[in-house]
Amino acid sequence: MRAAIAPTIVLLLALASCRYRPARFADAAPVTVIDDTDPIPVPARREYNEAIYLSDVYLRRALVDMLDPARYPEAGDVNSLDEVPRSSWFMPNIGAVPLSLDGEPVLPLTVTRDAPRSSERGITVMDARGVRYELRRDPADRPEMSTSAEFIASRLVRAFGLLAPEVFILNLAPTDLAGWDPTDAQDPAGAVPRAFLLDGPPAVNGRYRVSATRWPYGIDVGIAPDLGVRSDDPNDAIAHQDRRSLRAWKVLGAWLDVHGMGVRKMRESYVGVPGRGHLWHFVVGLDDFLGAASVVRPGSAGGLRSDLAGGPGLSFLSLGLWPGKDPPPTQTRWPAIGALSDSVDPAGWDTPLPYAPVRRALDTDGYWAAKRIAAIPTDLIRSAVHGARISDPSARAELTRRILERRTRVVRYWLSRVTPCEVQRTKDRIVVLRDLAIDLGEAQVGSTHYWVTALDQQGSRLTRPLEVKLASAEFAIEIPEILARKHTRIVIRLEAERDGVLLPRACYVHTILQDEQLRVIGIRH
Amino acid sequence: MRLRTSLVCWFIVACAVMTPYVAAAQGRLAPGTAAAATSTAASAQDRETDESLPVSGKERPESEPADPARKLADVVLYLPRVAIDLLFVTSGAAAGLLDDEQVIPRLEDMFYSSDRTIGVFPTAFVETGFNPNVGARMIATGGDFAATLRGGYGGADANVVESRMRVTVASPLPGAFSIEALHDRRTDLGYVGLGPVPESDARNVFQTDSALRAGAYREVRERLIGNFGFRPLADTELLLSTSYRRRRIDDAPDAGEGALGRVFAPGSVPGAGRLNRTTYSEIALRYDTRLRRGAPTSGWMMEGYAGALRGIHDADGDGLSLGGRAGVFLPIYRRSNILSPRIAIDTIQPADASTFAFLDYPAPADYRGIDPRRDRIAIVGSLDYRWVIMKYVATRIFMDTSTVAPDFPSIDLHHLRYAWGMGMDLHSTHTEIARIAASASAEGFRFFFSLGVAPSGFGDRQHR
Repeated sequence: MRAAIAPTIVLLLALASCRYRPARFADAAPVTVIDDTDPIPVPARREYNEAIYLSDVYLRRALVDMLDPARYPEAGDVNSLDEVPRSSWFMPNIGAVPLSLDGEPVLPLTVTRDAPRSSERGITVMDARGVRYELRRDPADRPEMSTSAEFIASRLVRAFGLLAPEVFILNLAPTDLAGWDPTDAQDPAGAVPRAFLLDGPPAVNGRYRVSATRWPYGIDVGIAPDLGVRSDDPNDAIAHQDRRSLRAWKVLGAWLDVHGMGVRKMRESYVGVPGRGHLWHFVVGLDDFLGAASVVRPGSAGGLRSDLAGGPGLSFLSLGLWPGKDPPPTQTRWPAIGALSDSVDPAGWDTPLPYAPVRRALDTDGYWAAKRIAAIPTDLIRSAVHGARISDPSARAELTRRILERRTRVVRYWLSRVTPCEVQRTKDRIVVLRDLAIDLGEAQVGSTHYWVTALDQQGSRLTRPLEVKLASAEFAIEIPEILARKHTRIVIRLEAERDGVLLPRACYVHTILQDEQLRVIGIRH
Repeated sequence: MRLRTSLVCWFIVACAVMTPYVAAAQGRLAPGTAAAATSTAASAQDRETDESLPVSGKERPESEPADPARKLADVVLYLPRVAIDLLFVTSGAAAGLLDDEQVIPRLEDMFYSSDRTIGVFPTAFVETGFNPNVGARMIATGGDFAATLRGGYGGADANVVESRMRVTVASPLPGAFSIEALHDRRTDLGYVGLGPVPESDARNVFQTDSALRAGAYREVRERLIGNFGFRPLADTELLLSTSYRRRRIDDAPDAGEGALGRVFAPGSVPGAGRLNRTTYSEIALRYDTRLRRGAPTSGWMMEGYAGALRGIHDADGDGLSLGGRAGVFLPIYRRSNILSPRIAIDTIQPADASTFAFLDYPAPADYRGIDPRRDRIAIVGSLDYRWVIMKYVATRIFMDTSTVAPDFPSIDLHHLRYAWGMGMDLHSTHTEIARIAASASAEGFRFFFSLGVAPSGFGDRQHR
């Protein structure tokens, strides 16, 4: 009998508290800037070790996560209005300004023995001013593909608000690389430049097309771990797996068809004079974005299948002999376009290796990222593709179309995962809201209505759900006077219903009423 | 019993001491760091806001209906979770990854000096049939240089101290130079005699009053190895190595009637019951056309070696060893399904069999069943079928056969031993990281588990 008391008490306590209770927001202005640029000493450089990373993600993390029942927490770099404040990780306006005044490399370029760090391919050079760049070429059978992908991705990632190194498209004559004699095939000093220039498409009018990536800015201190923080950076206070700016790669990766997203692509640079600088956090390795690393060439498998036999279970049981499904060869109509399909599965997109921020991305993180992507001007996307100097106009048009189509599909999906409602303004006891999906043309006014419920701070309903039919994307909710008299803090729960189906997550607008004036102090999607 | 109690106590203390660090390493905030994180976040607030608030502006987080149940489960699972994390941290296997002169970034803060050049890791091993072994491993790294020092204790006759230093160079040719020193004591090791049928081999003289045909011995050894390896061509590796070994073999203390000296006639086992000092120098050449060594990949591989074993004193015995391995890796239907027939042959030619220590005779080391036989020739044939079931994870089924013989004409197919098995491995592009496998043979079952970068396969004779 006594043995049953403790479990019963625990069960009753658990049942008693089994309901949603909203957060309580402080009556304070939202944080708009996280100042994580205090001077720090130059941190130690960290490089990726495949064996260690694989053993950690596939063995230790797999076991430990299996025994961790806690739900993934809300992102730590999100303010009360469900937005990501500006920081060294996220710079909302970085797409509009150059990262540095260095600009294009100044010829001639001198090849160095330093290995590239922003990607596994290419060579490193110093320009005439001594500024370091990394040069890369296209695959021989896909002229303009990788270099264009690197250039376009660099622009689009920065337009999103994340840091990416600047990329320039150059057409180099062999003599633009100093220190060797291009006419002397036996010149030992020419081994590296010659191999670099010949490993790619042939020259056009005596010039070889290359991408020049400005890297690093300051001192390269290696990769950013995907779990925890960088221990020797006191500014790094939010665990990386819980940064929305990194979780956003679940959405960005699907849009830009990123091949190898993971720790190798997140590198950090120490900017400033040693001892007085701080870190910037970059995404690098952009040459395999836009499907450039996923090209399937016909006959490249030598008659053998290259897929994995229909998944681990089938592969295991069939000894790897299950027919499966090989990916079709990539189109060859436009060699400058990689394996970038205009259809995309935003929910199914994942990184090839477990990457903690992407694994922990919540619907609300995806919604935020989709908003950011939707806000990138179409003209900027067209301009990025144009700037990549793709010689075939039809390839330019097709690539632009595919990028825009993928954006539409990705944004549409993530807008459907939450109630995509944004506060426009408040007046007296009225809050004016806007349905972003309708605003972007991803949902119809006629098929949408909202259920609005007022809650108190404990999550108890103060009103019955009130149906609101929309006449446009914008609609208003008025707090009843009787409620306003009794409660200073009211949480408005908004649930959107489209075509008779409730969207998966409600939106909570936290308000405070003072002197008959309503203010919004928090939003959660 | 006392040892096991000590181990449990050590583990509990380790759990208590290290839990906050492990939590921090996992990305969860430890109690001591929560305030710091909050205050850092608060410092980022606008001036008008309360500085004690986090970035989210929340005074209290929301709670979902299932949160109480999750918290309850979290409490229940907390210790197993931390224990697994600690086991990974303290396993020698985790440290084994460091043999690749790398550092586990996640663990740097716990065990490394502030400049991250020297680290000390606790280690723990529990192996079937052996006492638990606890110890520590020190790692020092700097540029192309890496050094490790490890010590482990599992009882008076089960301890090890080992030191390794390695320097790698990338040009003009990729290469590595290493020096290793080892002292260890092991006991309850088994010897069944020489020959394919030791029971009836005239070279083995059994005690007439013993019905047992396997003797248990204890080995105390010191070893110093120097290795130099480089890659003159993309597919070719050349390794030169030399070692000095000092070894004393006597009866296992607790073996009773099963002790080596009770099973075999006194003085009939060369090398037993005395100090044995030898040097062994070897040159090995390997040609491997596979693009990757970790994942199943097609190609072929061949390696050969020649070595000279020299006794320091006349009674220590000299010998010449020759051997090699060859394998073909054939794709079946998919590029990632590989069938690989392989053969490994090890031979030794003693200058004088009466003084040549029994442990210097080769055993079928690559055999994955149970075959403790030794002789001048040891041969293992294998057929593996390995296929990738998901990226970085492959499964294998295999069949091995082995035999030993005094010379090639004497090889008798009637005395082959067979083993069948199945396993799964986690691999990187270049190496195997973890393996779990089981094999069955007429002699019994064998279970394999390894975690850490596997040895390259070169210089293995030096480590036997």
